[in-house]
Amino acid sequence: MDRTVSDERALIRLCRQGDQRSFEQLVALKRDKAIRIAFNIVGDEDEAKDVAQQAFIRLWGAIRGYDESMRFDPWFFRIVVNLSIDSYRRARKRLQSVAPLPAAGSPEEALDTGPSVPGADVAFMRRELRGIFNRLASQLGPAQRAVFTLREIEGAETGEIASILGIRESTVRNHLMQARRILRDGLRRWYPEYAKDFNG
Amino acid sequence: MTAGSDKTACDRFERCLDAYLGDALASREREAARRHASSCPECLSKLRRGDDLALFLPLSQETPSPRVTEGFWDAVRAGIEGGQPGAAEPVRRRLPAWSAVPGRGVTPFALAASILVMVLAAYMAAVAPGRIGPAADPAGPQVSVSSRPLPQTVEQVRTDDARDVQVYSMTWLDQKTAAAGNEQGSVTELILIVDAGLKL
Repeated sequence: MDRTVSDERALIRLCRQGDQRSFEQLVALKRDKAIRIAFNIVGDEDEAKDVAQQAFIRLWGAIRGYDESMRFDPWFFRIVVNLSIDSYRRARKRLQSVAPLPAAGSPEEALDTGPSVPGADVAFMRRELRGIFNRLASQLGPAQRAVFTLREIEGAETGEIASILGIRESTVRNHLMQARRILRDGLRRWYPEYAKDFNG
Repeated sequence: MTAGSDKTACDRFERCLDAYLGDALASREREAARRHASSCPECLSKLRRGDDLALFLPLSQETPSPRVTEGFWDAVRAGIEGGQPGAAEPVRRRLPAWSAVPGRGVTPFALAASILVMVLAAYMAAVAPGRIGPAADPAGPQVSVSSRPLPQTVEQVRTDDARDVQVYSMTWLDQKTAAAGNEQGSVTELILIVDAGLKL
């Protein structure tokens, strides 16, 4: 068995026995992914931090009931995703409207991230990508956004996503198809230079 | 290919590109391909020729900013030790279909408020017939009298703390004073504020 997996199981067992020091290690192990998933769903890093913290607090309360025959990650990230969806729903309701999309043909103006030189700098590109994703993904419904995040960014399998969200696999595929259509349309309309290959 | 990636990995990626795009790779191979493409701009570019939404793949490598991770565990520990309730089960509560109706929380209150206003209006009509009507017409002292008064305005208002409240207002005009040439008349206004989020 993979040593890391084995270590993680031992860690989880200790957490189930109430060992807070082990829980701190488990938090350190899962923190970045939890924040990243939450960020991709809620679209705000501070809110993502709150969601992830809340998820770990809930995990502490629920971990005694964790069935060790199940995979831990889908079980835990279900908490993260559900809290993220709730947060995203509340934010959408509160704001009513999201940040307006840029006028066609002026993505740089809307992003306000300086000159666009694709491939010039990895950090800059990621920041720009983050801006584009947040703007386009704000057009998605909560479930569509969660499915796209889990499948296309985190690389989760359809069955795993269905289990995390508590929906059927066919529903996952349907959400994914709709999310991809909306994002692709938005990309082509608002960021046409990104809708084709960088070299093209 | 980047300086950091090796040619073998790029060749391997190119060989499985069609299978990747056709979603025909086993999960482990798919994950390896994703990981490579997300850190190799040249292979990502090839992938994007078949799927422009692969643009967002590098977001899978994103790590939270130090601002977000700083003090993360301390906040989680405070939540745990402060006895914040953890979810007994990390399971999304299934809501009945009608709960998807927007503003469902407000509906019963709005209904109750409407009934209350109508009862009050009926009472006023009974005790002071002919004294109920719309607000004074600024054009002159002519006042039409309605025997079936209804709330004149219903407004959805957002409070400073982002709660939606509904404000019903209704006006009674003393017809005698209005007819006597007093444009202001004697006006009684009933304002009813419905706050669905109010804890009683």
